[in-house]
Amino acid sequence: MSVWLQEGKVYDAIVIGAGINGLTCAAYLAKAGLKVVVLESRHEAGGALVTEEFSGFKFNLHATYHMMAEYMPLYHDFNLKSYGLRYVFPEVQTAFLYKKEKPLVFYRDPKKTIECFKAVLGEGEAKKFERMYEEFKQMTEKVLIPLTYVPPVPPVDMVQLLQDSKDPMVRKFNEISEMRPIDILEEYGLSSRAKAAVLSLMTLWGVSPFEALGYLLPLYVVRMTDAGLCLGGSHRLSSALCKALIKEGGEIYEKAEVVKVSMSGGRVDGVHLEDGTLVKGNCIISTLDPKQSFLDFFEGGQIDNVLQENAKNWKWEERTFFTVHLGLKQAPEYTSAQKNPDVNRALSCILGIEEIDELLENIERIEGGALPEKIEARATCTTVFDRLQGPIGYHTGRFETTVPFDMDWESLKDGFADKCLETWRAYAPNIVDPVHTYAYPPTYIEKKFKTMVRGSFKHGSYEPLQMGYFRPNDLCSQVRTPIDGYFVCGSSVYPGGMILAGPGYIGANVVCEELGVKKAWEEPAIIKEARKSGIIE
Amino acid sequence: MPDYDVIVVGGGGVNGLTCASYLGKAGLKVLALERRGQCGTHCDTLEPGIPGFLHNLHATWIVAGNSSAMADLELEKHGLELRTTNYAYAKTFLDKKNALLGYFTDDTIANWAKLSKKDAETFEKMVNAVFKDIPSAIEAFHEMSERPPSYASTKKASDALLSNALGSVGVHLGFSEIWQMNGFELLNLLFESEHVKTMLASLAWIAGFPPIHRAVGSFAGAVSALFGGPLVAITQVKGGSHGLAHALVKSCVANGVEIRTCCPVKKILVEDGKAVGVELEDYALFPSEKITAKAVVSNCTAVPTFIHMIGENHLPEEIAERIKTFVYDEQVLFGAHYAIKEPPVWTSADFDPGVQRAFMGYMGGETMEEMEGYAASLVSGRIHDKVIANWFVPTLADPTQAPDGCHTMFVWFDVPPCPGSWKNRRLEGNLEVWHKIKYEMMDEITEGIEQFAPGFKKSIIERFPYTCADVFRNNPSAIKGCWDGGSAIPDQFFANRPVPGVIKPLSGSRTFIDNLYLSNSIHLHGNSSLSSGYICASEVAEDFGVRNKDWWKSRAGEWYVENLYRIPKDLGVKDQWKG
Repeated sequence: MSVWLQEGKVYDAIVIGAGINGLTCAAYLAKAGLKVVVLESRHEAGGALVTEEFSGFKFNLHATYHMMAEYMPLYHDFNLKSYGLRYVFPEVQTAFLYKKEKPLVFYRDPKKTIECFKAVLGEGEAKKFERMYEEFKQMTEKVLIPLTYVPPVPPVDMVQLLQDSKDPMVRKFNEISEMRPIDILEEYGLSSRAKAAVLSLMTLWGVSPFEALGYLLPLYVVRMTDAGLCLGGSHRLSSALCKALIKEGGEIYEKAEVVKVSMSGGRVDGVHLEDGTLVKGNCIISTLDPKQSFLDFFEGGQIDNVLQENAKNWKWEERTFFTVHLGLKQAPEYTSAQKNPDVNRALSCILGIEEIDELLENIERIEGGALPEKIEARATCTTVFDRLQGPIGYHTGRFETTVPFDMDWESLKDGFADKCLETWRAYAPNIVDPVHTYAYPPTYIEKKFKTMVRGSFKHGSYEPLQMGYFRPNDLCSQVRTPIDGYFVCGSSVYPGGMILAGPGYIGANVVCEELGVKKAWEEPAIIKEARKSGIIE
Repeated sequence: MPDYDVIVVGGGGVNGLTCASYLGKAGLKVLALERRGQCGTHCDTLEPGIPGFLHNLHATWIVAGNSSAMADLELEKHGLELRTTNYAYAKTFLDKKNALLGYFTDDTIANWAKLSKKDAETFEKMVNAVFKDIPSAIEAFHEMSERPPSYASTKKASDALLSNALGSVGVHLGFSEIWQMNGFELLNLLFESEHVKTMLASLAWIAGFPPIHRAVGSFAGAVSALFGGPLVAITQVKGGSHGLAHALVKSCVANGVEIRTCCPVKKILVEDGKAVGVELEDYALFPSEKITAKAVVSNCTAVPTFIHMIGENHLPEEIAERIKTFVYDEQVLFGAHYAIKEPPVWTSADFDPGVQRAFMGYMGGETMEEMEGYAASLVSGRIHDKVIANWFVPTLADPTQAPDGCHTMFVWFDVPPCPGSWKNRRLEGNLEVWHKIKYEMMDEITEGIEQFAPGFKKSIIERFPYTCADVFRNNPSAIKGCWDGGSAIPDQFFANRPVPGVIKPLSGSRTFIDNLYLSNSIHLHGNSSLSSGYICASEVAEDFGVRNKDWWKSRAGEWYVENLYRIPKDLGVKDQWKG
C-alpha cells in the first residue's frame, strides 16, 4: 500500500467505499474539520456514478439522470458547480411510445403533460392525471424530499406525526404510503394506458408495483418527470465531490480494498486492507451492503447475533438491468415523432409495452425468473442534450431493460442485445450500424460492484421490511450501529439507493453529533420548512 | 485584472496536470481546462468489457518514476503506486530464443551472453562507464530530460554519458558523428547479435523514435541500449495508468489548481501578439465563456493549438505553413486487447525463462533487415504483411488489473493511420478503413501471438480492437490517432519541435507569441516522463519570478534511484517462472 498510509497516522474517520454516499459523508466530515480518508476497492471512485469514456463515447453504465439533482444539499454546500457539476433539465422528460397511437409525453411543465393527456386520452383522463400529479407534487415537496435528508423515526411515531398534521395533503400521504402503487393508481381512476405509462416511471427502476411501498410512487412520478441530466456524464458528480473532499483536506485512495475491521477493547480502531496494510482510525463508516459491513468485515464472535442474522437474511432485488450502450452515427428518430415531434427531444423514451396488463405480466414473469416476452425498455440518447457525451458528429445511445439475474448471460448476452436493438429499431428505424456496441448484462453489475449482489443496483431490494426505519434494520437505520465507533450510511441504509445522497448526508450529520463536532453547514430550507410544519421533530 | 495567472489548455493530460500542479504549488492562480470528462487523456484505464479486467488503452509502460514530480509533487502521498517486473523488456523470436533487458544489469548480461559473449561484454562495459558516478549520471539525465532541449545541452549530456560509454568499448565517436547516424547504423556498429540489435531497435521504436531516422534514431538506439533496463523506470501503476492521472489531479487540487473538465476551448485569445486568455466552445460545461489570464499554456498538439485555437491570422505565414504540414501520421497504433485466463507462454521460455517475467516486449522482426522492411512499409502507407508488434501483459506487474488468477494482455501493431493497402488489398486510405477491417486485423494479430506463444488462443476470455480512429475520437488533439504529439522525425525533433520558429531560442516551452507556452511533447516526446510539463512549469515559473522554491529541487532520475529497490516486482508472475 501507499507509503503514505503506512506512516502510522490515525484518522478521525475512515469511510469505506467511494460511491455517492461515501464521498458525500467524507466531504462533510472533512468540512467539519475531521481528518478523513476514503478507501475504495475499485480503480475509480464514484460507485454507480460511472462514465466510461470509450472512443470518445461517454457511456453511463449506471446512473444517468439524477432525480434529486439540485435538491441534494451537497450541491449547494460545496458549490459543486465550481468543480464542474452542472445539470440540464430537458423540457421533454419521458415519452411513452405506442406502435400505432399518439405517444404519451411527460413534460417538465405539468401543464404541457396535461395537454398531451387531453390530446391522447381525452379530457377526463387529463383531469384525473392533473389531480393526481398536483397531489403527488405536494406530497413530494412537503414530506418526501425533506425526509430524505433526516434520520428515520420508528413507523409508529412517523404515522403519528403525519396523522397529526394540519395539512390535508400530508394526511393523505399517510393514507397512501402503505398502499400498493398499483392500487393507488386505481384509486385515482386512471385508464389502462395511462396507468402503464405512469407506473413505468417507477417500475423500470426495479420497484415492484405489488409491494406496500405506496409512498415511493409520488416521488418517482414527480422527480422522474423533473430529472436532471448531469452534463458530461454522471461521473462528473463524483469527480466534483472528490475534488471538494480533497479541497477540504480529505484523502481518498483507490484500489484500497478493505477486508476486515480491526477492533480493540470492544471498539473499532482501523481497517485491514487486502494487501495487509492496517489503516488506523477512530471511527469507521461503511457505505457497503449489510453482508460486507456486518459479516465479511468482522469475525463471527465480534458482533451481535441479531446483526449477523439480519445481514444473512438481506434480500437482493428480484429484477435487475440489461443495458446496451451504443456509439451511433445518428440520434434516434422515432416514427412516433410524426404524431408528436417532441418525442425526438425526450430525455427518455419508454417503449415495448402499451397496456397495464402487459406491464404487470412482464414484471411477474421477470420476478419469476424468466426473460420477458416483450422487451420493455427505456431508451436514451444523451448527446441530444449534451454534446459533451459523445465525439463531435456522433451520438451516444443507451437501451435499458429489466431482466432476471439467474440466466446464462455469458452465452445469452449478444443475442439478447440484438433483440434489444431490434426492439429499438421497431420504434426508431435509424438505429443501424453502430460504431460501437457494448452489451452490459446483470452479471457485469455484480462483477463491477461487490455491493450490487445479483445485480441489485440499490444495494438490496425495496420491500417494506427493508425500507424506512428498517433499512438495513431497526438497530442501524439511524447510522449508529451497536458496534462502538462503527457507522453505516450507504444505499442499504435509510433512505436507500439511487442518486439521492441521503444516506451520506444523514451519515455525516449523525457522526458529527456523535463525536460532538460542530457542523460547518446549515440545514437546507426545505427541511427547516418541514420542521416548522411538524413533520420532522 | 485577468481572472487567472495561468490557464492550461488541454490541462487534463498528464503533462498539463504536472505543469499546473507545479505552478499552483509555486503560488500562482491556475486553471486547467480539459475537453474530456476524465483527466488523464492518454493515461486511460477502462473496463470496456467484462468488469474487473482493466484495460489501458494508451500509455501503459509508465516512466513517471524518472520525473522530479515524484518527489516535488509528492505523487506517492497522492496515491501513486508503481510496480514492475524483474525484466523490463523482452523480445521473443521464432527461433525460440529471446533477448531481454533485466531490471538489474546482471540479468541482462546473463541473457545476452547466451546470444553473444561480445555483446554482453560491450553492454557491461558501457553500463559500468555510465554508472561509475551516479550523481553525475543523474545530473546529465536531468539536463537531458528536464531542461529545454537544445543541441548544446544535449551534446553536453551526451558527452557525459554516451561518449564515455562508447569510448569504454573502443568506439570513439563524438556527439555530432553519432547525431548523423540512424539507429540501425549505430546498433550495427555496437553489437553483433541480430537478437540484441533488433531488440534494442524495437525498444527505441516503441518509445516513439523510429530507428530509421538520423539523429532521432541513433539517439534512441543509444539510449535504449544504455538505459532500457537499468535506469529508465519502466513500471506499471497499481490499478492501471489512469492512477497517474488520479495522483496528479489530487496534487493539483491540493495545490489550489482549479480543474474544469468538459471544457473544450474554442479559441486561445491573442491580442497585440500576446496570449490573453481563452474562449470556450458553445457546448462546453460553461458555454462560450471567456476567461482571461496572464499566461496561457497549451498542452494540445501543434495543429489544434495554432491553426484551430489561435488561428492563422495571428501567425507569420511561414510558421503557419510549417504547422499545416506538421507530420502526425508516420506511425499510429492498432491495439488488440485481450482478457485471458493465463499469461502467454512464449516458445522462447526454455531459452531464458526471464521472458515470462517481462510485462512488456516485442515479437517478430527477426533481423535488422526485416525491421527496416517494416519501417519501409509504414513510410509508404502500407499495413505491414507480417505481424511485428509490441506486446504487454500488465497484470504480471500489477495483478489488480484483472480478477484473481486472470490476466490482461494487449498488442500494439504499428500501422499508418490512413492505409492504402494491406496484403494484396487496396484500402481507401482514410480513417474509415478501420471500422471495416478492425476485426480481421485483430484475428491476424491473434494468429500472430499464437505463433510465438502456442495455446494463447485457448486462454482468451474476450477481446476487442482499439484503433487510431478510436484514439482520435477520444482525443481530437491526437490528430488521426497519433499518440506522441506528432511524429518524431528529425525536422520535428528537439529544438525543432513542433516546427522551427515556434519555440524561442534557449527555451523549451516559450513560444513566439508572448505569454503563450507549450507543454505537449516538447522534449523527446510527451510520454509519461512528465518532462514536457516539467520544463514548461519551470519556464512559466521563471517568468513569473516564482521558480526559487525550496521544495522544487529534485532531479530527474533521483527519486527513482533512491526508491527502485522498494518498487514491488513480479507480483503477478507465477512461481514456476520465478526460479
